[in-house]
Amino acid sequence: MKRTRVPTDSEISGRLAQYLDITNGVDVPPRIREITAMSLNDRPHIARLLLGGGAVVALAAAATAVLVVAAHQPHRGPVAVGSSPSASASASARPTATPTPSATANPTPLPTPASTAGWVTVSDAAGGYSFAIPPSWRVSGPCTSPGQAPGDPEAYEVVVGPTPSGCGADEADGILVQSYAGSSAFSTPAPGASGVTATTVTVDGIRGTRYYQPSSGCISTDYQYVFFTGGRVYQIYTLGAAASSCSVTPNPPIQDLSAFMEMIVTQTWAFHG
Amino acid sequence: MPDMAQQRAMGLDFAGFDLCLDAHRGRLYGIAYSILRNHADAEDALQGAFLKAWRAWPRLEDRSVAGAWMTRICVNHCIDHRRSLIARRQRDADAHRDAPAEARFQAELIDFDRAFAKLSRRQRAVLTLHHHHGYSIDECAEILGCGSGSVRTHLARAIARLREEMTR
Repeated sequence: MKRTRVPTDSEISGRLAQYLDITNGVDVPPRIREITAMSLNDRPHIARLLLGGGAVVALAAAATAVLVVAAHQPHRGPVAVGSSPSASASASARPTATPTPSATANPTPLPTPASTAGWVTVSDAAGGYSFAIPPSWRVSGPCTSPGQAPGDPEAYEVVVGPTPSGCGADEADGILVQSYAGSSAFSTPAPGASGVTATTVTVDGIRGTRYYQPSSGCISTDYQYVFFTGGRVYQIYTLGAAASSCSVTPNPPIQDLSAFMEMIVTQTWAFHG
Repeated sequence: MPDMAQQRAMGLDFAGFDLCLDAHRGRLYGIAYSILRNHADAEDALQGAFLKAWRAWPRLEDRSVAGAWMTRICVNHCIDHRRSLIARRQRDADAHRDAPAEARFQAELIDFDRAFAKLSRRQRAVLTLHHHHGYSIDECAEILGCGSGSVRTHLARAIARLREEMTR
């Protein structure tokens, strides 16, 4: 029989505790029980890495990009943070091209570019936006991600960066762009928490918010832009490095792409909603 | 297998890694299963995560944090693994959501299982880490590599979504 009343917090907590007791108590299958360092070391590429001292080359999954990528013409001037709305950009017809794949597991620091000249335009018709990226970068996606937004099972996701690792890669891999129906943003830093700074911005005539949360301990610096327009939410975010004192860092250091994100959002972003 | 001297020379430590695996594999499998909600994906993801951990093991200087370190690798690998399968998942989403819950759930948890399935993988990870394993908000943020504000948002949205689903 369907519930007709709103469950209390204690009812939800009780069900959640019961449920997680079951899911976290499942039997470990033999395939996992039998894993040892030796069995892992027998994997050819791992043996090569550990015993041969060779460089690691991450073979990123082939992106299933259906985005339109074209040479970027700076179509409007920079939009300053906190400035007035500028003239909106129009999406011109663009030839299609495939982003050039490149892969390296250990990114080197990237120099901040002087301008967006020569960048290529990434246009996501389903998501309702376009922006430009350096020509050597790759596009991962778009992916349709269920469950990202409350009440809305579909969020279009694109990750751009020097080496995003396949469709639906994480913001730690590059700059993550999400677009989904709704009027509340998914996963923004809590205002006032641990030095979060929220600044009003205007991009392509649309007012939004830029969030910045500095690194703390092992927590990475968090940069986000959030816009609401045409009944959709647009979130663009990336991570910076965690504090150097953090000892729990199993993954390669996160490449700080915040300077690129600033240029992408403030100088190249356009809404097509 | 290299002898102990060779292992040390190459920065390998089979016994130490095996001890860490034995101490944490059950807990990590539970976390993986809670995030991914099926055994096939949990097994695949955890194998990949253990491989990644073994690759990075020589670089872990402070072995006293190995449990947290391995948790971080596994949780993030599960989230990424789910994402890499997203196209297939989306295609099967409706059938997956409507499929009868597994028999292990008592009747009153079947609806809850369907509600939990509608959460994002990050929301499931945060609920599992915070509510079942007792990690603090900041510890969850360290594991997920995001801000503590993001963790709070994930938690709040997850509970709101569960409430919404349980109300229907």
